[in-house]
Amino acid sequence: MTRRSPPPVDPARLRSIRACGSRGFWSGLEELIDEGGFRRWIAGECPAAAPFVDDPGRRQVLKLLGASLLLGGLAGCGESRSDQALPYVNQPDGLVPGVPRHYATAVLFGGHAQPVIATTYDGRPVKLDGNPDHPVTRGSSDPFMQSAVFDLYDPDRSQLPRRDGAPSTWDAFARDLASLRIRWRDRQGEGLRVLTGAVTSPTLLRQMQALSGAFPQMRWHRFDPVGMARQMQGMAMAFGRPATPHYNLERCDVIVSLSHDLLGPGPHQVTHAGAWSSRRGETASRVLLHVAESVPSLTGAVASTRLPCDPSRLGRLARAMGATFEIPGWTAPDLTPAERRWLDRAIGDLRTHAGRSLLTIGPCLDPHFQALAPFVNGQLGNAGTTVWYSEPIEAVPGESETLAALTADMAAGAVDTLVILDCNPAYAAPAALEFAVQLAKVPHRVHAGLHADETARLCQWHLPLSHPLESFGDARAIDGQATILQPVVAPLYASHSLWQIADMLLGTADPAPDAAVRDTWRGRLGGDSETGWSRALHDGFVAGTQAQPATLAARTPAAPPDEGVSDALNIVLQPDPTVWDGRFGNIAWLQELPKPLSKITWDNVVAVSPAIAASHGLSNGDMVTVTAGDRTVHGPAWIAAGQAPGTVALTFGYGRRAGGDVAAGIGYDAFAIQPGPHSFVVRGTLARTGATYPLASSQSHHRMEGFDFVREVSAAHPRTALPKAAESLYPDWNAGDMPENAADHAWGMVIDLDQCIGCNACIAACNVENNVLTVGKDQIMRGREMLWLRVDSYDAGEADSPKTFFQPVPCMHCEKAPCEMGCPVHATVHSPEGVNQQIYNRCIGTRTCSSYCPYKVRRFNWYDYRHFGEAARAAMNPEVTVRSRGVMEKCTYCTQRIETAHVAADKENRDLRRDEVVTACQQACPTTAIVFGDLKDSGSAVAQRRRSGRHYVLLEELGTRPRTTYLARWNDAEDDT
Amino acid sequence: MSDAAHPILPPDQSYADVTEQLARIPLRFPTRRIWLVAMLLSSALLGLLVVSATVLFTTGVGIWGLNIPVNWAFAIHNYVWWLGIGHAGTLISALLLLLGQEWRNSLNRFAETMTLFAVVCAGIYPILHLGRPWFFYWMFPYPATMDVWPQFRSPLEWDIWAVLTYLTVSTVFWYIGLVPDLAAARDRARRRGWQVFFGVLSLGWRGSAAHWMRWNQAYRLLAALAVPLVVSVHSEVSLLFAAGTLPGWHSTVFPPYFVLGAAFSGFAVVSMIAIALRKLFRLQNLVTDDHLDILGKVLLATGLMTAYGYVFEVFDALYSGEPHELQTLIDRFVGQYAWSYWGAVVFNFVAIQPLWWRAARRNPAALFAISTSVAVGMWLERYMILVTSLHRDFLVSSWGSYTPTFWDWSVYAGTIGLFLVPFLLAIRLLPVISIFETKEILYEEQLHGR
Repeated sequence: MTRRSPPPVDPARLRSIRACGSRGFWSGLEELIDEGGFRRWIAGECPAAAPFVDDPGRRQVLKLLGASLLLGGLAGCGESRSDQALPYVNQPDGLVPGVPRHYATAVLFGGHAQPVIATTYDGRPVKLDGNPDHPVTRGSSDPFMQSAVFDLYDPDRSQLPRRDGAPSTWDAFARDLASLRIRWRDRQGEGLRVLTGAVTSPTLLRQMQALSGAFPQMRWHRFDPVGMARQMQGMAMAFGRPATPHYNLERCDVIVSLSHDLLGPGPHQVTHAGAWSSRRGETASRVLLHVAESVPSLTGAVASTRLPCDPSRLGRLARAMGATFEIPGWTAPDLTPAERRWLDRAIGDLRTHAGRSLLTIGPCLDPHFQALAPFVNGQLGNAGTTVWYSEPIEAVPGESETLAALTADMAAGAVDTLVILDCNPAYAAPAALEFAVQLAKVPHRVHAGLHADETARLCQWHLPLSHPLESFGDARAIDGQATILQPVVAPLYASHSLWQIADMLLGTADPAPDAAVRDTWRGRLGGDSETGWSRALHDGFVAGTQAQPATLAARTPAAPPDEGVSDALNIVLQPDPTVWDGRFGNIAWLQELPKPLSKITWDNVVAVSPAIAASHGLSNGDMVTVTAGDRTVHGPAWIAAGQAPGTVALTFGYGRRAGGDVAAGIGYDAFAIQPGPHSFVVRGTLARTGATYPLASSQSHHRMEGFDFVREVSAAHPRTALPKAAESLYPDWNAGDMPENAADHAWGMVIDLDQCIGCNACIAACNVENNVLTVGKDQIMRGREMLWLRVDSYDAGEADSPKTFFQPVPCMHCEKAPCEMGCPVHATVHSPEGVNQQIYNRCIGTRTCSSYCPYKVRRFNWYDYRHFGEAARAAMNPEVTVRSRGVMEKCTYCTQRIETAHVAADKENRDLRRDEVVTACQQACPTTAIVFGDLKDSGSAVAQRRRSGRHYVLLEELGTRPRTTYLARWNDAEDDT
Repeated sequence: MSDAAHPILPPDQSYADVTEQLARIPLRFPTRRIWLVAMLLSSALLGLLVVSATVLFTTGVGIWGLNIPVNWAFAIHNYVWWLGIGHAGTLISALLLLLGQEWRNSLNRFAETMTLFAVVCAGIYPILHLGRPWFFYWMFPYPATMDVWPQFRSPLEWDIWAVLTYLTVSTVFWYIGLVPDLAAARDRARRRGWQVFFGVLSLGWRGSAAHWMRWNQAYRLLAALAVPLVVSVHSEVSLLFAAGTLPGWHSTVFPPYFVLGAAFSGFAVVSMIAIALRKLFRLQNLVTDDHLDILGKVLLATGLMTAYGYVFEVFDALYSGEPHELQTLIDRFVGQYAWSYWGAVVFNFVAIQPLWWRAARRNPAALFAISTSVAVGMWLERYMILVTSLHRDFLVSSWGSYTPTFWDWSVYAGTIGLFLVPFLLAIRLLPVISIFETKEILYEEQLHGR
């Protein structure tokens, strides 16, 4: 487009300029000289300005001056194009390029805050770790928290509002909303429904109340496909109203769990694992854990005694337990000898340690049975010590506020507008509800979410949601403590936060990002409000907002309903350990994270017990049809050692139909068989289809084949066997030649296998810290996973009821490293501090190092795996090279962290502090199973662990002298003998 | 062998006949059609190598079936196989020369030629194998700006030196042995082009006594260099495995085991070529049944020695009682790759048993079949040693498996093309059998015989 210029100035005319004349002001020589031409030009080019030229006036001029000043400033605001980016002329205070800054905030998981410290480089978050000051995480994390940065940078995230699938704008939505609001006002909110996931956010709660105030007939529904709903029902059964139980596992001598996966994935994992592990390992009195469960879980894997028990028989166990405690109506049923043995021991231990024991009952049991736990714990005097109860942390929906109520209303045509906020019911609602069918009957449908997912496709409006790392907001952690979310990066796309959208529903045209949250907390933060606000943001939580014990007395549980006897299979529905209910499905790093027990990646399986596999002639990867009533799913079978004989386990989170290129089209959708919300056990049948399906597992053998990779000690034999003195012609290494004598520090790591629960947090943290790339299912099937740190899982004993062991295996950093000897180009060398280093830019890819490595911890870039999108590039840690094709890589003991600590110490002219360097895996580990440090400092944690009687070296007979060593696991069962 | 009682060459031929018969082959090539067909097929294989290498270099070694734990397979195993084949040429030429076994004079030329091109095939594999092949020169001690040297403790580094030395010595030895014959061909050439071609290559050889004296010194000196090289090169190749800690690799028996295996496979291929050439060019009078008889005996002997290596490996594992060694042994017997172990046993050791009988040794078809079987068997053995040790090493959790892909096979087939094309060119352009050395046998026989 060519712009027309004003008519040219004739210099001769300038001479005719005399005084300012009657008009006084002129805005350009052109105007002064040529009245007619300039006026015509201005009328044509800027019609709005034409009257002003005619009659400027003093006020007009001043207004214009002010406006132009303002507009000049505004030009600096708004979206700037990256290709016009300019360097700082003056560096902002406190910002040094390349030096990370840390912010306390939180990411959300099932509505709960996971308090984090976000590490940002030059304005982009690259790593999240648990907030060390927060009692829930104490600095540790879980795989979901670690991978949240990949969620932020997910290239498939929704980037702009869409109306009927076509790109639109927020302005257009605001206009539509304005007309909708008129409609709602006219009808008192009749037919207006809001659907959210689980909510703990005080601000959202306040906004929903305000919405309800403005539109009294409006109704707010909440739906979390997994969530705490079942637990709340159990608590309601026990106390007459919902309550949140809080477990003090660190105070327990004995824990008895009926299918409650205390240590398994979920918002509670980090807290529970930390508390449990404080009573394992080197502690004087170890906690005993008795677990009866139908599907193998992390809790069962680390249990002292574990009883595989079908869900149908778990009720019997509970009933027998109730009978033991002489609860009226609870009659002792027949039990198998194994069940009887387990139960007697569990009840015996519960009673022996009364006041320091804990009974928990998982959500797969009927709420009637769950009500038993608070009663028994009360009877034993555990209430108040090992468990206490508070008012619910999350906003528990009433009977009419559930998804089931909403779908019923939708079916009845009672819903006029449905606003779905950060919730994906079109995928995650049980198929039995036919949510998608009913949704079509709603005239006005609005969806806000991170992804244009299954639900978004069924709504007229889809609004892109800001990631919690881009938002001001708030939420409560599982202890009830509120965290104010602060953005650590400006929204990457044209998105609004959940709280901004709620404000828009309330009628604010263009809500400020922090307005709603500030309103909530104004006057509640102590001190003057700005200091309190800053303090809350700085700390990452609002002190004093923890849940308080509620005075609740457990009622005598009513007699449970008879579950009847059926020879149908028990089909257990569970969230997936790496993608949960599908909400993390588009994060490739989580898809590629091996499932803790099966080590399967990129798929969900139909886990069958060895007994079912035998009776149906199944082997791994055989396609099966699981039928419950008139609903079926098809999936690949997987024989799960230790699964109860009549149990089939399905996991949610797969079979996505939309929501991103990574998530869509893999696995089967277990929601398709779910009979109703929060119904986790159904009866059904299983049949082989004859087809097979390729599964990608990162570990194909789970038996130790007679070797002692994982060792055990017991009370009777508390020390690991000392290695046999190897007879050799050659003299042993001279201590003076040892590398640890070459430098001031000798780095080493000791992993306590008694504390490891196999949760994968270390792997996820390692991936993020070290830019470990994903390779995809095809490459995993070829055995080319890239994980620098793997957690091996081994089963010992009978397949029906094995003992499960976890063993994290990072690089051993051998002092006599076979790999270093093999490399022809010096690409893998030893540092004076004993780190086995890999020099990527020297590596030519002979792979000799990996051939020679007895631990097979090295990983090779078979192709160029750097195929992540442009957005995910920002997630890469700038301190670590992103490896290219043809290069070997492996665990470096987070050498960048060691060097950073050295630099900091050198700058301050001091020595490294004790335990100053923390590796990413160690930092993430919720159980302190991993300890890293200086072996030369006899007071360091790692040196202390090395002196433990449980200390042993993996494959010590090879003489590689690893720096990474292990502490043997306690065998609690052997204590008896 | 070529003693008076039993001359290895039929005595009823004159020197001129021999020269005429052999020097005529390049000048008036007899079996053009067969040669052309063979050349076309070989060129197609070579083309396949070019295509495979291009794909390999542009996308990465991921196109092969490799993984962790089996991160070495076809590239290394074929490298060892080709190099082993090459060794027979040197052994026949150099060792038997030094030992005064004149019968080798009928075989040494094409055996050396075979060595040369087999080493070339072996030599390209270490480069194809690299993750970043464009940096292969980092294995040489070139004056790098960062003053980084190669890592001399690495068996791979020794490999570079060993193979390059071997290639150099083999080439020079082959060429020096060729000079008198090149002169003979020059003297018989009629066309100007051939005259210049052979004239330049024959380095002005006139056959003077001084020439012969110098030639003999140089030739025997190089032979004395080449023989220990065979042993050192393949011992070194075996250290590529033995230096690792892996069960099934970490064994002191490896160097002799590998050298003998190399000679075994090499003699097999020499037999195959001898039988093919003798048939093709009607050289039964020069490569006689007696030659085949000797080759058969050597094959049997080296085969049995290699079998001893097998037995000792088993003994070694059982005697050590080391659980990982035992586990690898059992895995070789009954595991996923048992076919490669038992295949190696059958093709290598069962197949050579007929060679105890003179009739089998002197029957070209039978010897050819047995030799082919040995070449296959030794290929399986190298595969077995590599893959069975790697796929299940120490930690059960890292066990895996390996299946070759199309590109694994295509590169291998391509190297057969890389071997055959220059070999076919050599028999087309150069005397396939040493003319003057053959005449030497005749002379010796006539001197002693009548």
